Amino acid sequence: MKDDPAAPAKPLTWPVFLAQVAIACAVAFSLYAATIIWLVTPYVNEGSDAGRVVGVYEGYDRVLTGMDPSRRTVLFWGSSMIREGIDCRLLEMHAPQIAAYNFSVSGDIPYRRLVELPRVRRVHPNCVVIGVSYPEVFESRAPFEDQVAILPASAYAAMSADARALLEPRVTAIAQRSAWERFWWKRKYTFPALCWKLGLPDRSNPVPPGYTENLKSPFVYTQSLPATDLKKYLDSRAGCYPPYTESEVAQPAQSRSGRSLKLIVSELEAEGIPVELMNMPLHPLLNAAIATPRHEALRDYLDSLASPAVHVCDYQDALPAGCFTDLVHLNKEGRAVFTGLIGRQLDNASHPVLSRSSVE
Amino acid sequence: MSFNTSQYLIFFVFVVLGARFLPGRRLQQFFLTAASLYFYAEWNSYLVLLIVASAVFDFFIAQRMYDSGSAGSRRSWLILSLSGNLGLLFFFKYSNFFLTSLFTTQQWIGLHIFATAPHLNVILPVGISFYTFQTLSYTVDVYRRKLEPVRELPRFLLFISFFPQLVAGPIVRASDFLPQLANRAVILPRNVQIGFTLFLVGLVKKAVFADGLAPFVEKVYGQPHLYSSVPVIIATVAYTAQIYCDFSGYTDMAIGSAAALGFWLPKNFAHPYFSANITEFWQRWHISLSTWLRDYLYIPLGGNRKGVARTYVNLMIVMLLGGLWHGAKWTFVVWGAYQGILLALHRLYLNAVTPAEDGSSKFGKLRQTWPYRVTSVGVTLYLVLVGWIFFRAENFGDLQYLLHKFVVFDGFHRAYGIYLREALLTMVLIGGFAVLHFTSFRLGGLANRLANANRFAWCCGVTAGLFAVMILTPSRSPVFIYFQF
Repeated sequence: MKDDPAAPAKPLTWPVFLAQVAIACAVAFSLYAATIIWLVTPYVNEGSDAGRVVGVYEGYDRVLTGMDPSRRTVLFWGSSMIREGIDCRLLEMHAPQIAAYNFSVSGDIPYRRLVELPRVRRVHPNCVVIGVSYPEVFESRAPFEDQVAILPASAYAAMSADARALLEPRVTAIAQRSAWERFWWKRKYTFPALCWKLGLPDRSNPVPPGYTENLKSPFVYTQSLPATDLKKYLDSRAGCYPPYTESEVAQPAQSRSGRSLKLIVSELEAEGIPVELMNMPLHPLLNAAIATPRHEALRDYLDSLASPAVHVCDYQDALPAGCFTDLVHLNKEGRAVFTGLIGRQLDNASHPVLSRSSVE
Repeated sequence: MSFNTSQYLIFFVFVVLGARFLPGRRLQQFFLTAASLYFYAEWNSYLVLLIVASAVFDFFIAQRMYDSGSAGSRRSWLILSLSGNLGLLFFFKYSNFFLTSLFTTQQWIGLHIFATAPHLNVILPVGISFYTFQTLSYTVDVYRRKLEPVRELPRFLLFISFFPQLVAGPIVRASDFLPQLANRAVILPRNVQIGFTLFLVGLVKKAVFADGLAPFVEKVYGQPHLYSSVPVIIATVAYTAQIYCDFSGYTDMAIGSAAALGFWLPKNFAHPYFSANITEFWQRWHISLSTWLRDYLYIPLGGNRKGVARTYVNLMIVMLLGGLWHGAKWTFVVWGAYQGILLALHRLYLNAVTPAEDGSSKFGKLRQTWPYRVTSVGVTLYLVLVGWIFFRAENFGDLQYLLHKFVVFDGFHRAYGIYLREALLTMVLIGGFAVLHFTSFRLGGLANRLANANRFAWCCGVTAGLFAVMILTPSRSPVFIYFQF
C-alpha cells in the first residue's frame, strides 16, 4: 500500500482497530434489531399481505376461543375473490344461526392452504366453504415466498405426511428456515414499513387498518375499473387471461393446486368436516373468453371431488357485469348480492352439507 | 464466490490471517496464488486450468521474446502471444456471436449454407476479458522493452490470478503490480483499516444502491413495450446509478481487499457523472480500461499523429472495439459507435473553440463560469444516460422503443405491474445516490475521507455503512454486471 500523506500520525494497533470494528458491528446490529422489532414487525403483523397469512393462521385460535355452541361455524377459504365476495356480518344477518368467518388470503391457492389443515381440525367447523376458480384448480405455481416464510417452521412441521409430500423442495427450504434466518429475511419489509409508518400509501388499494386480523369483512378494493377498460385489456391480450382461459397443464389433476385441493377435501372429509366447493362468479366479459371445454374441465374436476359430505355449486355465470370491480373481484353491490345468495343457501334447512352437521 | 457474500468474508479473513503469519515472500506469494486459484475455482474448477495455461504460455513467451536478439524474432514471439491470448478470448467470448452474425448475413444475401444458426457449446470464463488484457499488456510491455520479464512462475501467476482483481478488474498493468511482488507484503492494521473502509463503501454501493435499483430496471427493460416515458426515464436514470454503483462498488471492494493484504491497485473511477464533457467522462469511467485502450490500441494505431481524418478513424476503431469488449452483442457495438461519435464531435468542438480558451474572448470567459460548467455536466450526463439505453437494451427492437420513449415524452399512462412503493423506493435510492455521489465528489472521495477520519468519526461512518447494508440489502442479490464481460 502506498503511503497516504493524510494518514493520522498516531499508529493504529491491532487491538484498537479490532475494538473499533467490534463496536461498530455491535451498534449496527442493535440498530438493525431495533428496526425489526419496533418498525418492521408491527407493519408485517398489521399492515401487510403477509401479515394476513399470520392473522388467518392465528385466527383459528380466536375462533376456537369465541366459539358459540348454539351457532353453526362456517369458515370461508379462498383468495381475494372470497375476500371481496363474502361479507360475513351481512351473511350472519341473513342467517343468524351461522357464525361465519372470512379466512381469505390474497393470491391464495390450495397449495398454500395445506399448512392450515392441522388448525382447522382443531376448530372442527360445521362447514368449510372453499371459493375456487381456475387458479385454484389449474395453477402449478408455488405460493409466494412471503406467504410461506412468514409462518414459523413449527407450522409446517405440524402438517400431515401427505401434505408435506406435495411441497416442492424450494417451498420446503423456505418453510424450514430458522427463526434467525427469518429475523434477517424480515429486512425486506423495511421500506414498506417506513411508508406505512409515515402514512404513505404503497398501492392504489392500500390495506385498511385491522385488515390482517379481520375475519368478518376484510375488503380492500374500493375502485372499479370501467367495463370499456376491461374489454380493452382483454382485447389487447387477444382474450388470453391465464390461468382462466389457458394454463400450463390442461388437466386439474396434474396441477399442484388441483392435487392440493383434492388432498384438502379428502383430509377434511376424513375428519368429518363438511365441505362446500364454490366455483366463484366471474365477469361476463371473462366468461365469454373462457371456452366451454375449459369450464367443463373445471366443473368435472370439482364434481369428481363431490361426495355426501362435499357439495359443489357453480356461480361462475351467476352475476352481471355491474357486480364487479374488475374481471374477477366483486364490488360492494356484487358482494351484497353474492353474500345474500350464499346466506340464503346456507340457511336452508335442506342444505346438502350443512344439514348433515349438528349443532352441539 | 462473490465479494458480497458471507462465504467471501470467511475466505478473506482466512487469507489475511494466512498472509499475515506465513513467513517469507515466496511462501506468502505461493499461499496467495493458491487462494486466488481457489477463489476462481469456486465458479468453475476446470477453467482455472485455462488461466494457468494462459499464464504459463505468456510467462515463457515473454522470456524468449526478451532474450531474442533480432527484432524479427521478437516480433514473431509477440504475434504468437497475441494470437494465443486473443484466440482464446475470441473462441470463448465471440465465436457464437460471429457464427450467429454469419448466419444472419447469409440469410440477408439469400445464401443457404447453414440451415439453422450454428452454435458452439462453450461457456464464457468469468473475467476472461480482464485477465486477457492484463497478460497482453505484460507481453507488449516486454516486447517494447519497457519491462523485464518475470523469471519466477509463481510470481507471474500471482500477478495474473490475484483474486481481488481477477474477475472484473481493475485491469492491472504489470509495471504497476510486479514491483509490489518484489518483497513480502506487510499486513498492518492501518492498511487493513483502509481496506475495510473501501470494502464497506463498495459494499454499500453494490448491496444498497445497485441491488436495490435492479428490480425496477429489470422490470422496465425486461418488457419495455409495457411502459410509457415516465417509467422508462426513471428506469434509465436508475440504471445509470445501478451500473456505476455495481461496477465501482466491485472496484472499491477489490481495491479494499488488496489494500488489506498490503497491495495497491489502480483507481478505476473518479466521479464520472460530474464530467463536463464526454472526453472527461472517459477519463473518469473505467479508467483502467480506457487507459489500456489508449496505450495499447489508440496510440499504436497512430493516435492523433497521423492527421485529422485518421484521428477520427482511430477514435471510432477504439470505441467500437471497446464496445465489443463489453459483450458479444451488436447493441454493445452500437454503444461503442455512439461513444466514438460523441468523442469525435467533442474533439471537433474543441478544435473549433480552443483559441478562445485563454479567457480573453467573451465565450472564453463564459466557459470559466459555474453556470457553463453545470450546463456542461448536465448535457454530458444526458448523453451518457442515452448511451446506457444502448448498453442495457436487450435487442434493437427494445432499443428503438426505449430511445423513442426517452426522447419523446408521453407521460405515465402505461406502467403495468409497477407498485407505487417500488417507484418510490427507486426514486429514494436515486436521490440517495445523487446526494452521496455529489458529497463524495465535493469531498474528493467519501472512502478516502472516512479512512482518514478520527476514531469516533470512523466508527460512526462504519456503523452507518454496516447498518445500511444490514437493513437495505435485498434478499436476492444479482451478480455483478461486469462479471458477464
